[in-house]
Amino acid sequence: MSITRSLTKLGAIFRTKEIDATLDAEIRSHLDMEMDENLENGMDPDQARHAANRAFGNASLVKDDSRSAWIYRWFDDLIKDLRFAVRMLIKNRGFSAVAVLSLALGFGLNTTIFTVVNAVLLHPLPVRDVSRLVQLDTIDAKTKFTQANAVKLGMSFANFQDFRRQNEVFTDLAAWTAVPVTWSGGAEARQVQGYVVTANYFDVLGLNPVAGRFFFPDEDTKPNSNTVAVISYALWANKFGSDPNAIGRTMNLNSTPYTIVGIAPHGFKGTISIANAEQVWLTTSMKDQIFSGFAAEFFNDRRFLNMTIFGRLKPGINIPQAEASLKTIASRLEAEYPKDNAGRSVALTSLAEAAVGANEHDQFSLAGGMMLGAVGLVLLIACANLANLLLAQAARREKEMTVRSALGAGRARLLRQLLTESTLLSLAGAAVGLLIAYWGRSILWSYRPSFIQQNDVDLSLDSHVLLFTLGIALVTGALFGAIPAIKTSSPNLADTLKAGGRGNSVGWRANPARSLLVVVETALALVALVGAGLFIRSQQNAQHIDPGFESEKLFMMAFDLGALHYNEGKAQQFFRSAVERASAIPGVQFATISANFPIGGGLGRTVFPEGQDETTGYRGTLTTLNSVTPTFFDTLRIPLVRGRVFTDTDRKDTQSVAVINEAMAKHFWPGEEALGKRFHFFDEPKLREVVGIVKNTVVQQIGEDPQPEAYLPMTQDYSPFATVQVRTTGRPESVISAVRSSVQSLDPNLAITNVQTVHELMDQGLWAARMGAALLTLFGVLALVLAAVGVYGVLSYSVNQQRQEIGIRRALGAQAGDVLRLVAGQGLRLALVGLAVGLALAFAFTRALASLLYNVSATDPATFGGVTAILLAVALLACYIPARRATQVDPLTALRYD
Amino acid sequence: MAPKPRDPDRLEIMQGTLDLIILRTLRWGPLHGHAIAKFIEQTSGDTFKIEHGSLYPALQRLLQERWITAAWGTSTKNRKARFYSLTAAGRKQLSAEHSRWERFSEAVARILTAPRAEEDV
Repeated sequence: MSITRSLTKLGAIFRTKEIDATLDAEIRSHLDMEMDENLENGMDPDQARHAANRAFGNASLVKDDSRSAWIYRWFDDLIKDLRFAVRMLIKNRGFSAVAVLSLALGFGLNTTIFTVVNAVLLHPLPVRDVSRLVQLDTIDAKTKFTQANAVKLGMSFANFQDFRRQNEVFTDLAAWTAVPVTWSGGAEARQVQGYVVTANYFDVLGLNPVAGRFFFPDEDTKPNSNTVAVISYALWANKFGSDPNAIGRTMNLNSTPYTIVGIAPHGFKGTISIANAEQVWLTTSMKDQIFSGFAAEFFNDRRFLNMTIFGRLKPGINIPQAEASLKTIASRLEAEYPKDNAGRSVALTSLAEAAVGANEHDQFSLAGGMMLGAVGLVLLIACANLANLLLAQAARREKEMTVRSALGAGRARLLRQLLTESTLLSLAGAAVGLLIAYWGRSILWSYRPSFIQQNDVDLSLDSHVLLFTLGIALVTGALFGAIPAIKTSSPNLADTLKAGGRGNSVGWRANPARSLLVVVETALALVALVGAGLFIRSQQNAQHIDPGFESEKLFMMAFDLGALHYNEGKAQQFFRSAVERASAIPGVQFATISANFPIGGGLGRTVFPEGQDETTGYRGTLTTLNSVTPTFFDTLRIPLVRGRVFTDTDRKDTQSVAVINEAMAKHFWPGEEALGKRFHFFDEPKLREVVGIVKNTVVQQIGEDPQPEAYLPMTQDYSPFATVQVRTTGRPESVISAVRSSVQSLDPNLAITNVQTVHELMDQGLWAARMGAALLTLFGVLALVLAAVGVYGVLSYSVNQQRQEIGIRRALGAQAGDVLRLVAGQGLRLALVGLAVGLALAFAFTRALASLLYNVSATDPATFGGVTAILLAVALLACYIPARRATQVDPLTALRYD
Repeated sequence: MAPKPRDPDRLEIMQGTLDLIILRTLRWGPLHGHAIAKFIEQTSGDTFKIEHGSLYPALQRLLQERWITAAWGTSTKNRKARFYSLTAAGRKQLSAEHSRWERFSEAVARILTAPRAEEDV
């Protein structure tokens, strides 16, 4: 009853309409009665009405005053509650400090992790109305793919142009592709991130330049003469000192001079979330100046999926409608170009999702969700501890509550008071938590891998983050405050008198609230620790995964001869000289040049065995290719299984040959001898003979299933992108600079990039796994400590409450062992229930994480067993200490007490 | 709202006093707003200037303190009206306020009628 009344009052602030309606009716009736009276006194109706109004005064002012009487009261109560809460919290200083600090820890961790999730997953791209932007990808039902995640594949420029012409659902479609370009003309040639885009790119995104202009609509139509560039805000600020006169200046990119015509808006770095902030945009008509090698050769090939396409939906069109419409265009294109487009259609992804990577978005979300889940568990345990503290405090305040309730305070009023206290605690925790997050963010940022650079990710404590922290603070304040508050606000006078507030043992019947806390804390800690354990195992496994080559004493550097417009003859000579010079340096054992980075993937082409092609019903397989010089296998120490590796006798004019890995042999010729077999690429008659089979190496990502890979001689399949790899006899660091300058001396305009040991490179690849394991371990240990403190606290409290009972038992002859068993048994039983619940929860949840783990089952028995054992040991300890104290209760003192 | 000319013979009632007066008028049973206004005007011999409207915010305040409750009913002239009645807490409040008021007015009266006190030098 009192609750409904109080709710009415609380609700009054939001129900002013109802109050107004009542008042209106009342005022009308008042005026009517006054008029009746005036009429009786002989006034005419007009006079009577005027007199009544005059006597009443200003009706709307009355309504205002009445309404504000309600609102004023509400705030008045709030301020009284707040003042009282502050007094209580200051009075219990120790309790408040513990509460605020543990909450701050929970909020701090949550906010830190949310900052990252916010920056990577939730930050909208800085473009106009991003929800109307959609990415278009090719999906291919015919070609076989061996890589995980290869579903959405980009689009060929030729197909893009047809889609753009025939499209009816987008206002327009734009295309882009990323390519590193060499910026020369300064002291040292350097590489910058380039985007090759259609001229409408910025218009479709709805952007306005900070200075200058974006591309004119026809600036992608004159091959080789649209020498205009737009640069990113960061590039303008860092390299041009934000000079307004940068517009009109010239940049030498891949040996072609471009005029800077515009500066992109601050924070815009293309349509991807994590990207270098220093960017330059050029138009597609300049492709022959920008690209070299296969990228130039195949640019207009209808099968070459090198472009990323996005469009802005017309008003009123949603993604499924657009997809249906585009699929009909795709089937037309499939019919029109059956050879290139067979089995190929189109799939749509919102650009906001695709910004993280159309194929990777789900995994990123899962990882982010898992981290938030882990810190959420820590927070929940911290809350459970606080609820326990509040319960203990509530027991001490039982008298106060009884008195206040006797003085007429309604139950809802008391509830509101207690909730005000817990919310105040929570908000104080949030304030300190934000400080921790500010600090934690810097620590996290300082551990980032070297490939994530300044400006790549914006880890700001923006309004999203602040709202998030405020949100969890309010929710948890209500959550951990509610249980004790409900319990306390209904003091049972009879019980209080009878038991003197004591005699609570732990156990379901005696004290369900506290028992529940023990069970919940144990269960949550188990879930957090299982997560941590799985990731530690996964990371250990990942460290020990054999990449298939020897990664120690190996370093690399990369350059692009295409940027300097070398022809193939000159480039081959350059490669030979570079290898010769590097090999001559003391400390160098072998040097080689390949097209791909180690573990860096590479160009994939569709492979068919001899006698098969796309017309025979055979499904070709997209296979990673790597063009290498003869010393490649010796340098990386990739073991030869059968046949031979390349030699200098493999030249352009000799038989085309290939060395393949075991995975490729097994994929195309299962159960057969692959040596001597021949294969060809899609739409290319040239047959290549398998002359050697080597062991598998990791092609793209540590932990992947063995991927087919074909090595081709650099002399027969030239690649202007080159990765120098050098095997050293001693520590690689000592010879890196000598090799670098010997390569640089061949051409001072060469931009040499990615100078690093292969060990560093592999470490970067495992960065996420390592960071994940470290963070989860930290969270797991925090969860364990908090839970142990919680269980210990509950039991200690219960021992204190049971002093009298224990004293009587002792006086009646119970031995220390009996008391120990009694008290510890109470706690352990609850802990065991918690462990069982936790195991069930962990089994249910960790399955979802399977895709993030390397070589560990999500229900790994060793992890589950180990974690259970650890928690059991900790629970034993947390129960033993208070139980031990119980055995030391002196029966005489305990009985006298009161 | 333009300020109204003051009538020097009629007094304005302070908020706390108005509350006391309203509680007092309800002592013998439920009344609606109009009746309360008339009662105050008549019993004070028109000394108190009371704008009828000013009763209503005061009534809201008393409702919130739960000194009075309200219910819709029918007036003697058969008009729908909201009737206010005292609660038990309101009755207690009335007697407490009443004795406070008496002490207050006695004290004021004593001060106003006291002979001139001897001043310290």
